[in-house]
Amino acid sequence: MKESVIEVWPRVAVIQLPGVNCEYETKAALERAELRGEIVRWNEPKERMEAFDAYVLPGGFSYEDRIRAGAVAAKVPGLDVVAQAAEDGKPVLGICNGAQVLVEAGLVPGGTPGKVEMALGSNRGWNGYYCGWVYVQVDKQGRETAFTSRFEDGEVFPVPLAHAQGRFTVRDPDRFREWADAGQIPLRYVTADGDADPGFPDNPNGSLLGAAGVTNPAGNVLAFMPHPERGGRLRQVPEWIQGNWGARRRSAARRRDLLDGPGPGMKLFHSLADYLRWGQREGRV
Amino acid sequence: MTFAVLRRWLKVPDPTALTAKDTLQRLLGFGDVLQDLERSEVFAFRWEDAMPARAILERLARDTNLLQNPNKHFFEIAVGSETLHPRGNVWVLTHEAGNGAEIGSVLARRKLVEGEPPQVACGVLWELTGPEDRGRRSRMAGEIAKTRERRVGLLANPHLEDVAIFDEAPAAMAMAEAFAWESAQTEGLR
Repeated sequence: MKESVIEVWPRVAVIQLPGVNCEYETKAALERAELRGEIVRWNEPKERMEAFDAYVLPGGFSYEDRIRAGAVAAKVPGLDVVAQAAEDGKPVLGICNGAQVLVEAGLVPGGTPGKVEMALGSNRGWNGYYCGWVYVQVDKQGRETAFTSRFEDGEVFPVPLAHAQGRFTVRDPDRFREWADAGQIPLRYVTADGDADPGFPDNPNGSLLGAAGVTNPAGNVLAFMPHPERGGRLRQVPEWIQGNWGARRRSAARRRDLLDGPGPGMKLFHSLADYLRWGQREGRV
Repeated sequence: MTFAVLRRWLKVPDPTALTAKDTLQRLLGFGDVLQDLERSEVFAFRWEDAMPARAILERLARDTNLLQNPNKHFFEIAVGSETLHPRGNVWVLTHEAGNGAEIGSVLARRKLVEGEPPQVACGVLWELTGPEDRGRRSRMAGEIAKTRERRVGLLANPHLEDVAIFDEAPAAMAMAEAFAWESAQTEGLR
């Protein structure tokens, strides 16, 4: 890649909180979407952290999940920059542990930014840490977010996940329904055929309404429990996966050119790239 | 009705307690009032009938690895009106409905207790050392207990966990009654 090309790519900070472990593959996925991913330590000076067009909180175990997953990371000063960026309309993506941080920081569902309005509880249906592939359906409710424009409404795609505390929950389930009706739950666990409201293992953690990803009202902040960066290349898709992605993977066997092509998770990063480029053209970014 | 509590804590410094203390003192503004913070895990037991609870729990603690690991934990048992001896001078119990129900079902399935097996609930007891003044330290515990906003509260997410605050060392019965027994057993079976 020529430096001059990289220079014009939107800059995305991958926040390296102590204990995260997915920052390099997240950066790689961003770069395949022609975004300039940079790994930025959580305690960098504010001025350096502010100089990005978007932010990703990657997966891992920030602060070793002490107290609760994401609870400590949500309090660190570096999150002030992310919270302000979210309020300013910059895209913020939390993947797995990053999603847990966004929930604990009150950035999603974000009705009152900074107020903690939901929780990510321990998995139900599987006792403890669960690792596997799941199917997620896009449910736009007539609304676009910074991370879903490349998906068709209703599209089902496979994606890996790995977590012990991924159950989106809230005291008042009616609130959750309101967020869903408002399009703030655009990514939901389904069966390979797209049947909603499945039990384990299709809904791997017992999330209310099968929520896999929750956004803020503006749609520029997404907390997504699965790992799209681990499904960024076709070769990462297991051959047994059902639907179009499985068929594509099987027909690409031993075809290195095809296997290195984009996997199902890349649509999320390409959507982010589109959002940022439109923003550049409109002067938002 | 018989209530009993087993409290266990690490023989080495508890890294989660240290992290919580550091977060509260350094990031959340409690440096002047929070002097120390320790942490225990508590298992509460409830029988419908009168039971020799202490003997049962001592045997379970000694002969099974369900309740404590002698390589890792110290523990104490309190029954009924007996008082526990946690460190600190104000205490926050955090617990999620359903936690502990699995231990209850193991006790029943493996027939580890004679007669009717107890209901079991568990949680974390945060042991705070705060100001001498009882009112001040209770307020401090109240502010620390629940994460309400990004910079307010820490120990429990109220959308997931329940909280009880004790401003004097709790008796086993008082602590056990702080658990949501009915929902705990239902949730745990889902």
